[in-house]
Amino acid sequence: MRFVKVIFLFCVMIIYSGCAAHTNLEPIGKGEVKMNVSLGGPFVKISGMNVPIPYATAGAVYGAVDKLNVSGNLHLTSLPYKIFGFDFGAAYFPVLNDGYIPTIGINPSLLYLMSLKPDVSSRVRAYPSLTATFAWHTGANLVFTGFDYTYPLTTPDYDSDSPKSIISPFVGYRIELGRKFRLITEVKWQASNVRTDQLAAEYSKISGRGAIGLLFSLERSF
Amino acid sequence: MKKLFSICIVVTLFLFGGCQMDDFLFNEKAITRYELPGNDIPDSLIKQAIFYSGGNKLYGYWVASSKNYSGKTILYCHGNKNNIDNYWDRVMLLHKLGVNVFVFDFRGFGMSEGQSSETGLHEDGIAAYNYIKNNYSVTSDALYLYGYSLGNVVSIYLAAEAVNPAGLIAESPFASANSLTQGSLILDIPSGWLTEGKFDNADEIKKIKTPLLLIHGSDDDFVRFKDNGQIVYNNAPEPKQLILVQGATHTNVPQVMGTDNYLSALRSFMGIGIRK
Repeated sequence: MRFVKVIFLFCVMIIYSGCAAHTNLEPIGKGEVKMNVSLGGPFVKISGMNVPIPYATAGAVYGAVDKLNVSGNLHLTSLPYKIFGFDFGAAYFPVLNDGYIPTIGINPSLLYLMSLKPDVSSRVRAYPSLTATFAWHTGANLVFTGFDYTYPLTTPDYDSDSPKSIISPFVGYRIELGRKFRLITEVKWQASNVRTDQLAAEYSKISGRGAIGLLFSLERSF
Repeated sequence: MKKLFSICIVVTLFLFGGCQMDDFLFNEKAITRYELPGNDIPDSLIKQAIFYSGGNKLYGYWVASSKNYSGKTILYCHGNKNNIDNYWDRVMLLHKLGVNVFVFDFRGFGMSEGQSSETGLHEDGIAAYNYIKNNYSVTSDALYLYGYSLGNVVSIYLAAEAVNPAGLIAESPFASANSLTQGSLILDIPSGWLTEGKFDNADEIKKIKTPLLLIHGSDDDFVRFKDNGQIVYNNAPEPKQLILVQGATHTNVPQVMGTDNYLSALRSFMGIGIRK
């Protein structure tokens, strides 16, 4: 009974930390601003085909100091469900790319979700995450990898032994599109440590775990 | 930048139209006539039923037993897929028990009119019970409510709120709409965020005053046992019996269990013999 409907698919990405492709990959410089829109999500099987779920966010990165960016993303796809979703965080880059040594980023963030509906059992959920990124320049472009670590503060109603941490490794490539624009493509194994073989949604998974996702972000400098 | 911001605002306002996920629980298919595929029950035993619920004309089938065990009747509440035709093989299987079987389409399913909803399911269940009570003199002490998947929302509600049947059989029930969404989302999105209806079998089951037989596949790939069937079973009062069918998924419990074993389990629960 794999009947998951499209309307359902639009919201299954809410929970994963980093619903957008990673844009906070290197310091952008004090006072600099970059804005981005992102689209993408995990593949779900519909009628035997793997279909990517379109989950959209819009956000910005700001260079607070030379090696520290702050960022925020508004989650657009959750809005029709009357869920306000916003994630924000800061990325610190203690090591910069030098040959084989990557730019290393450490990015704590918080995904904040708030229901705008009047009659809900609880109105707010917050999911803290820590992201580590490793990025290398290849000419003007950038190749990167890393992982998200999400720590749920609460557990589902009926699943007391649900995962206490969610790990999502990713790999991606950032392409310069002229002077102001960049396209970031990313493949992510979302919730790679979580069994997803007995769920209402049928994800594209590896060894019965997680969900393979494809993410795109378009970034513009100002 | 101003232009980009304006676009974002427009998109945001557009998206604020409002969505619910209740629809994902319903996979109804409207038809103009029933086929009853593969039917091997004599036509003389099958009678189409038409009754009303909430102003909607509902359709069902009364399948009389040719070897009636004390007038025992199973009111079968099917799952969320399509309509009666999709479950006719189960009706044929249950008919082998030698009891009467009544199956019907909830509003919005098959030829039944209307729009599916949680309240609609409850009302339709009551209407179905009243129909067989009034037309076939089915009494509660000879009635067994059987729910499969979504159908448990109907049968458990009936047993909890409307009628005290001789027994309740729950196959592959989900705990609640929230248990399904939380499972799929991995995290604990609170109740009410994504669905209007609660479909809360885990809560309703606490109110029943009848023996329960719960059957669930260990490898159910849609309604995971540990946070659904197990919860419903744990919440149910005694007397109750659990059959966890090793290796079975959401759709093949009788096949994996073996139809003889499946019927034998039902026969034992209902205190009847299998019709040869």
